[in-house]
Amino acid sequence: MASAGSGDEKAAAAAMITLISSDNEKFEVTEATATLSQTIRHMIEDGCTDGGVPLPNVTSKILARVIEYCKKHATAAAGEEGSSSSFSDAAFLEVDRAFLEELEEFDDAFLEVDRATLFDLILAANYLDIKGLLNLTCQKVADSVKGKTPEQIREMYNIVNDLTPEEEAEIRRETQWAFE
Amino acid sequence: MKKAKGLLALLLPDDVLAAVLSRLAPRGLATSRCVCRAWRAVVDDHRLLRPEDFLPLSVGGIFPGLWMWGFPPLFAPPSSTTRRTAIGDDLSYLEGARDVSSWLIQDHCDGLLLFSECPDELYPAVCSDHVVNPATRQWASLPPRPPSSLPLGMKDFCHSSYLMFDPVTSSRYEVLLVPKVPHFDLVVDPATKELEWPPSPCAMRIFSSRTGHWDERFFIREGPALGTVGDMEVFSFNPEACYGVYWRGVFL
Repeated sequence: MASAGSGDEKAAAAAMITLISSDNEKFEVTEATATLSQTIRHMIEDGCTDGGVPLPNVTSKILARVIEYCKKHATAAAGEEGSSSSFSDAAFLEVDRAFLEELEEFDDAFLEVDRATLFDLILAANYLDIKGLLNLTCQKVADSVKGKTPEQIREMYNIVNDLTPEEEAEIRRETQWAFE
Repeated sequence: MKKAKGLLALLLPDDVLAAVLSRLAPRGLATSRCVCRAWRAVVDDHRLLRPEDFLPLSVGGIFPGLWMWGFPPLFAPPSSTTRRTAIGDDLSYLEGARDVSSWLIQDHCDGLLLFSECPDELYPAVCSDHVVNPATRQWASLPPRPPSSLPLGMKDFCHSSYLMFDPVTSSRYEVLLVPKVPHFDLVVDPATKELEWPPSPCAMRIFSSRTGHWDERFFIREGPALGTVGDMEVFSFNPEACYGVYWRGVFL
């Protein structure tokens, strides 16, 4: 039994990936966590992750958050695969629902960040190609724009209006129904 | 990932900003185009708004009782009185029209109205047609209808006029004259009553605003005839109950 245990540990150790942030901080993560990123999945498939994966576009602060997200969602994916064999259907559905609710709560809490962080998370999710995280963060920004006037959007995101009055009038005329 | 806070929104790459904005409904997208040039470019370059979104989507008003009135009154929401009471009864923009009171709405399509002016109901051949856009106050009188080449005996058959207009694809319109069997009280000779209906080929006249003139096109019937001309007289009492789909030059 002892030898079998150490074998598992070895297998687990072999499946660890080191991610290196732009400010040179190292993060050890399981392969299951890391491969939520398509970018990293391709690197692993190409066998170029020895000595760590440098991520020059992602700071340690943001990478820590991204890993937090991936860990949670990797567990969710593993949980879905593993639990179906050990529970009856009804029990499985119950566990499934509870888990999905927990995941939703996690996502909501995860998005409680300032705008700068939210944009950094979007950029990281885009660079690392993490579909779920990109969806989540993009939707958050879209929700913040929804129902706002152009003036309110500019104010919210400190955007300078570089449209001439003529261009603005033209835009309003083109889709007049949206401005009535 | 250093950035000036003021440039925050500009620092999202175009495709990411597009991913964000694509989650908005058309109204949100239209608003986004008005934020700044970069946002407008993203919405336009990624074609996030559909062509039809660039047209006025709100209903300005409704013309009721299309078949009973000459130029009908317009029911419009009271909030838009200043701009829209002009649509409807005020015909001052139809300069040169001889007697608008005898105009009857024959059809309507996406905001355009098709009128016919028939001085004598018994001679539909002398009807003239007018297309009016009550919102822009533009209107056009179509050239006289050319004679129809329906088979002998059907020469005096009347026609239903239809207007075809899709502002999403083109600002052009077409007017289609579909022959129909006249009422009992119009004399149709017994030999004609035995003829198949609809005839095949069936001649229909089509006016295109692109060419500015009428053309006659011949349509070949697929499948058996509905019946004879005599059978159709029964249905001609209710000509508005006839439906068909004409799409890209073919009846479906």
